[in-house]
Amino acid sequence: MENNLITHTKISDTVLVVNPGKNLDNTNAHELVAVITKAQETGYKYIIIDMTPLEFISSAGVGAILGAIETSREAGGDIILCNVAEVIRHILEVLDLIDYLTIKDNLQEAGASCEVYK
Amino acid sequence: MLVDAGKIKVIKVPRVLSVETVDKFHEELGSLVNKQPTLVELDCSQIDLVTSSHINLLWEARTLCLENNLNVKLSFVSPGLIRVLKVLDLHDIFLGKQPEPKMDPLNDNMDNRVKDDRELKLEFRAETGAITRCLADFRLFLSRFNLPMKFVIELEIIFYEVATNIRLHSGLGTGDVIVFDAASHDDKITMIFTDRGKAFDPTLKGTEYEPGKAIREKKKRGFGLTMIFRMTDRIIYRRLEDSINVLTLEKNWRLHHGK
Repeated sequence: MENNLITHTKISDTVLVVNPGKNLDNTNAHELVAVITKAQETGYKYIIIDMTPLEFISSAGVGAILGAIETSREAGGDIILCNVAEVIRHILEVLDLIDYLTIKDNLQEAGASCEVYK
Repeated sequence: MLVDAGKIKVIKVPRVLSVETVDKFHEELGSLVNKQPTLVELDCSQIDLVTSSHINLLWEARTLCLENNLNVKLSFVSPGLIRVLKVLDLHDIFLGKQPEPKMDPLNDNMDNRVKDDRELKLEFRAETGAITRCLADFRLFLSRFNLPMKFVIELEIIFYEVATNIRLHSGLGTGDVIVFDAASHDDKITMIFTDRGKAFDPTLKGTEYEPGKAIREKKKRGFGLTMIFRMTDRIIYRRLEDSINVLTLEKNWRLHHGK
């Protein structure tokens, strides 16, 4: 179950980094939704999802991310994905999502993009 | 012949080996090695008739990669090529020794076994933990065939999404069993799910999906069938007379590799 542990780190008053663990599926997608929703309600404009260890994402995991994007954008922020592994990126490509998502190569670039738009 | 996939570099081994195709292969391999990728994938999908020249070429390519401290693997390895590698005692060198799936008699997976090198049968209860454990067994089974990672992740997702759909929508209780059979053929992987739940023909379901609209409407669910349809080449549903659902899904190696 540790593989599916969702953790998060505050970067600033407006930026939160969320780490979804190794698998993002039916066992923990609801938890990711809860973390993001709470962060949005608390006032975090930017939520960076650091996908470094992510190896598997199911439709529930995709839905957890997609369902939260518009709320952040409505608030003038965004949900930013970074460190997306090749296979995870492939899943996003299969779903034609690449053009609709904000994806950065690494955490540094993701953080910098939040500063730009802040 | 060269496909750039980030840190993984894929190079196709030519089907017909002439002076020109071999020279071109060496030239492309040399250029690829200079880029120092994490992994070099020797794509064998075009080899339909294995010759000693193919084996020599694979050996030379492997040697060059190892001399440059690069990881190398074969992909789209046909049963014919596996047989030749075994006869030449090169199987473990090129493909490595694959571990046997470990079956835990105390877990919920019942009567699970690899029927032979190319077939897998899993029986599991319609609950999340059992599906996750069987996904691990399926992953281990797939590791025998040296398939490209993108192909493997799609197969894993198909398994997970179909099993989860059955769990959520078939009306099965957590004590009811889902049977999963997988087989590797010359050019495809077939997966068959059998259960005694409510009749459900996914091929009759529309998969209306527009990514921008899904984001704007904050849609959190309903992507499973879209993923299954986009990752599968053929889906056949049958409802047998004694209330048994049989869902067969096929994924073709060669078809997808051209994309």
